[in-house]
Amino acid sequence: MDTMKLMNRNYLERRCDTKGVHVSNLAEVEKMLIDAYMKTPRSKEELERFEANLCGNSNMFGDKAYVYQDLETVYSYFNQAKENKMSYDYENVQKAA
Amino acid sequence: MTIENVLETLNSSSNIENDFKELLQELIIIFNKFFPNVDLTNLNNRLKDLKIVKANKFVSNDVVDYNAVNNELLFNLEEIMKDYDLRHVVMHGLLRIITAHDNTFGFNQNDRFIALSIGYTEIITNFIIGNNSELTLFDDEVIATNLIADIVGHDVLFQAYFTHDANILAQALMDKGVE
Repeated sequence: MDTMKLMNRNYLERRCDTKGVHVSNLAEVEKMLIDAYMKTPRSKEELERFEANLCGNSNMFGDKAYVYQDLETVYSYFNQAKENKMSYDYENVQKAA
Repeated sequence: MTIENVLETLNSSSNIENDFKELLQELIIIFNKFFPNVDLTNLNNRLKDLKIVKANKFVSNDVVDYNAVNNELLFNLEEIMKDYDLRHVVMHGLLRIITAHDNTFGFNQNDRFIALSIGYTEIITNFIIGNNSELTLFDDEVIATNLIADIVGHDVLFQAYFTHDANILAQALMDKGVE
């Protein structure tokens, strides 16, 4: 499973980083999880909760934060995936009707 | 295994200082109140010769770690001097002891789910005891694990974590399309 491998690599690299040069690839992990999440039918509330869970906590953005690679791209990725999903679900509902 | 048995074992340990025993006792009681159905036999066995080790960053870069093979609860000296919530940090370590198996803990197996196990341990720690410090632990793993919980369900993670069952977790991840 590539997602698990990436998560593990992110953790182990940071754990072994004694010089403070670790660059987090959380954004890449989140994008893979967004893809998985969108494979199942989701309610509006579920999508909102998932979106809220993407943002993590304020520590990620303070002085003590790791360097996060591409984290700012996660929301646009999520919004695009959500739009695609909603239009796909809408088409399926139309077809069923 | 009753909670009384576990506390008796803790109190008879010669490796652990009294102050730390008191803290562990408090946390074990809190854990047991939250999850009375989780078996404490593993914890009881490990408490018998548990060692508390102050380590440097070259041994463990994390503020708290547990070596299941040597039965050592490790605290990174440099990190622990910072303003962490000590009860939170120790509860995280305690959960690793409770769920320890082979050379690892939780639903991890051959390092396949190590980051997920770390993240879930921290989520349970937050749930049981909260965190009174601005310093948090394992942020990336917590965020990713929360998202995975949204995908596979908290019940699957909970069951896999306390029964060391990586298979039900792997199956749930595959069923939900996590690649």
